[in-house]
Amino acid sequence: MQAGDEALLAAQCAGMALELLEIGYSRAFATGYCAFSFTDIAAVCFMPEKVFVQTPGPGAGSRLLP
Amino acid sequence: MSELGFPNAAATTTARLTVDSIRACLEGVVPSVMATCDAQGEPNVSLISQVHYVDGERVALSYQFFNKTRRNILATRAASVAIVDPITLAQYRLTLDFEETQTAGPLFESMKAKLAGIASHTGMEGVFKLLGADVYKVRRIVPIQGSALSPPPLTHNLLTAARRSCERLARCRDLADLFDTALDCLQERFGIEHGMVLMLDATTGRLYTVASRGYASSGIGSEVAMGEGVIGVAAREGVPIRIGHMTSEYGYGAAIRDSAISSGLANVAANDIPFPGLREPHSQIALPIMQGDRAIGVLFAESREAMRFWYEDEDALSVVASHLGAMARLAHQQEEAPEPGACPEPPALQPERTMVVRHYHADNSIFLDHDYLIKGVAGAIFWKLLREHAASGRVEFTNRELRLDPALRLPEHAENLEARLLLLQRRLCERDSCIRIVKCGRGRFRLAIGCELVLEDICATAARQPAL
Repeated sequence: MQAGDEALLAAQCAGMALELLEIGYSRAFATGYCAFSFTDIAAVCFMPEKVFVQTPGPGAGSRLLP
Repeated sequence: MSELGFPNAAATTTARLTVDSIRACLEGVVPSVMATCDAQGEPNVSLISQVHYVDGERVALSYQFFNKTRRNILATRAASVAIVDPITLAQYRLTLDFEETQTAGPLFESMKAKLAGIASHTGMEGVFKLLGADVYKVRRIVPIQGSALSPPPLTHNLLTAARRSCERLARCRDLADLFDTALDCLQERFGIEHGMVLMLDATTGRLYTVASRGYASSGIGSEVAMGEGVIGVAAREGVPIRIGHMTSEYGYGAAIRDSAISSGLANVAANDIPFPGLREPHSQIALPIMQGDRAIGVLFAESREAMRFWYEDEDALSVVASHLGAMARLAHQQEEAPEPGACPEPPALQPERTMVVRHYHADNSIFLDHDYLIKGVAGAIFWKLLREHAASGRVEFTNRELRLDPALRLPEHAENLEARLLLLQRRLCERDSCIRIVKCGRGRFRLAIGCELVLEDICATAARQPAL
């Protein structure tokens, strides 16, 4: 983890919780679902080799080619 | 068991998890994450909208598209799914072995209905379409480490509600009492404000409302076609159908009118009793009332609240519907052995009033002073009673003689007759006509006529002209 990562993470999770509230989930659920503990967080650096379609539907799981 | 004979708490918490332990995760509130891999071992992870409860050892996943996940399952027959409890946020990982794909039948239909609700809730109406219910054996359930909330305290016990409801149903005297009590129990024991009982007419394949609660108009006599909406699908498949979010896919109304119009009946507009359901139901549940392996009717409940009915509600209400079916059979058997009893007071005489009763041969529909009353079997029964009364002044009848009357051509499974008589009785009360049918003991009833009647029989060709 680097300096500033924690603040970024907190902002991301708060944003996600807000979206869950907007689509009708309860506050208890939204905050609980997006809760995390800083002691459990690890940063992983990676380089993608292959990319796949993630949108649900007939094309889900197929490889995206440049 | 512990020394004192209480279940051992420690043993309970370490007991093997089954699908029954994690049913709340399978309501479709939170999308699940599914992982598969292809024959070469390349992983694929996707979000899925539905992991459905089948039994204590099986779940079913919705097959909606032929995509990578599908190809992987067919190649390896193995999958792993992560699910979330929407109340406690506890998470579990399921290891699954693919067994089969079902493309029709009760499991398929209950998943299809639930998916329609989920699709509409997520803006995917018309996009999500169930192609199959993929059934998996659950090999292992492992809790995923993480913080979970404690479940909220139980505010009402559904098993107790089912038990008390069954006790009350067991004390009912006849069909009318049974239907009304079932709906009273829904309100008082289950806190369900909007409910109906519909019975199946096996000859027409349509369900008709015999009792309702919580609507501006009772809708008694309104009809639902087999396979239409959650009610029609529950009756056709003999399985509870439940939707947690509003969807137009399972709506009522237009189809009823369309089928009536296409059947060529001229007086369609006049004899269409509106279905009383909520305009915007967010939750609906339809429980088939079974006798043996066939549905004789449907107990229906709905709510403006989303996700009002969960698996536990479905179980408890199924018990009530099942008991209702058993008690209905008993009531039917008792009606077979007529026994005189007290007659309630008939309506007050209105000798100055004259009412025209018109009968259309085409569909046995009956109009009282141009107002639609009833049609079909109940219409035929009513016409027979009035004609007998006109010919001989007779007012007392038995259910049995109607059942044996060849002219009425009642279906073989004629517990339908009691439900039809009840429908007729209630429609007469609601129309505030001067004719009543009052039960006089078991299997007997009296035709009470409080005014002058003019009977008009309209033959088949004349019925092509609208009555109004």
